[in-house]
Amino acid sequence: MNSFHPSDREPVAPIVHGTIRTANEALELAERELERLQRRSIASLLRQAAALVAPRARGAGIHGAFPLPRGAERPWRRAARAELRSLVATGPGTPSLPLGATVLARLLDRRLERWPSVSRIAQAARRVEDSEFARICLGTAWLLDGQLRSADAMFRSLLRRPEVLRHRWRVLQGLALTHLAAGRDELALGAIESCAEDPECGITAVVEALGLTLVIGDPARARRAAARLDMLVDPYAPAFVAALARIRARVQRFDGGRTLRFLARHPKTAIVRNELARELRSPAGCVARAMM
Amino acid sequence: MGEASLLDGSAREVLARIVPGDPLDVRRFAGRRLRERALFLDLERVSLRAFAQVARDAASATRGSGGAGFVERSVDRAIDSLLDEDLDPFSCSDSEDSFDEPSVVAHELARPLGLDPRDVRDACVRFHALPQAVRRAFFLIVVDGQPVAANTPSERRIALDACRALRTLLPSDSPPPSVTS
Repeated sequence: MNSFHPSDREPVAPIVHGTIRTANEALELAERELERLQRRSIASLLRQAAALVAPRARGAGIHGAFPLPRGAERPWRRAARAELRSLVATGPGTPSLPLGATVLARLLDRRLERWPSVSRIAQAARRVEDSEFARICLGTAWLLDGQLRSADAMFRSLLRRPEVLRHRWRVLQGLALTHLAAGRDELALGAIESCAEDPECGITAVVEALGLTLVIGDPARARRAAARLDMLVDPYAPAFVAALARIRARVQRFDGGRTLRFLARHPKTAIVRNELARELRSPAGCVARAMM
Repeated sequence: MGEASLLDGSAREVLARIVPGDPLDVRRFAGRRLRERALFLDLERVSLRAFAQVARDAASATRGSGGAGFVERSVDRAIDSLLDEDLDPFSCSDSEDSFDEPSVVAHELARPLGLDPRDVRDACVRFHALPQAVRRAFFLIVVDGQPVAANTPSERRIALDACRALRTLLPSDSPPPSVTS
């Protein structure tokens, strides 16, 4: 009980400082802070739920990955149950369950296979707590569910914000993958190159940047992207293997015949691709071979 | 009433016990941690969030029934969550002492720096992104007014760090502060 020091405590008084006048007012404001913490926790649980269903979205494994790693279902259920228990136990005076608690309860009642789509869950999470990350999750969820217009609008609106974004590279990556899914390869390359310049960007951006230069057919940009990839990426890193798998899946599907259509039409790119593909151990070589 | 009984029950019940009179010294811990971590956050705002965090952690099944450092850990979590919210452009608090309006700290800091309190709010966010050593150097020299001669490498480091922190707080068109040894 080290945190309880009755002896060295100042005389008992309500916190009367700054703008707070009475103990009742302080309690009321602290209760609002408690509700805020509850909302944050529910929103986080809903985003984790979205990550749980993301792999079954139709664009999963092709267009990108959800910004949160897929956790295990059982610990999520335990945490969600504990959160709901704490909400019910808030006692008399609780006006109503916080927004999102009902959605959480419904998810708990159903098996994972019967949960709504990743974008519906991500939308519920954003309604509970709006944040830059909540918007990125929703944009990515729309991309994975194939709602490309909504995804595009979300990422563009984020980039138009006057404030400095904390996860700008994630927004650029989301926009690039949305352009790619819509067959706008040139725009996709522009966005992914901006993303790859961010020192915090993930492996996916660096891998996609090379993949796209090979699609577009720009040997100089392809060589630059390859050099960056080889310098930054460990070919055995799980994130690299996952990004490579997505490129392979996309090449196999040709994504509705739009994306990657031009791949075979650029002899110059074919030369660079073949040149890179000869480097068997390099990450750039792996990407080049995946594109063949 | 001992700490264990204060922390017993639902989050709202705990809150109703720990806010009036502040028997757990949450406010004092909050003030101490703000100072140790060299942060410009309103003590009132941090205290309210810390009360809520303590209540929530106490009611949580994983709390491990209070114990040593329980309040301090909750206070730190409360500070972290506020710093996180301040960094988010979409975060809007519904509390009256939210960061949406210039805080007491912003007003206090704006006066000597000759700035608008609203500019200070953004400056504080930038300041909080600095490494703790840099923030502490600023607190040592500027807030506490400790003289630093900058004769030894470590003193010079502190002076340079304080200058770096000051540059972060001042608008970009201000003349740069200098260190003379």
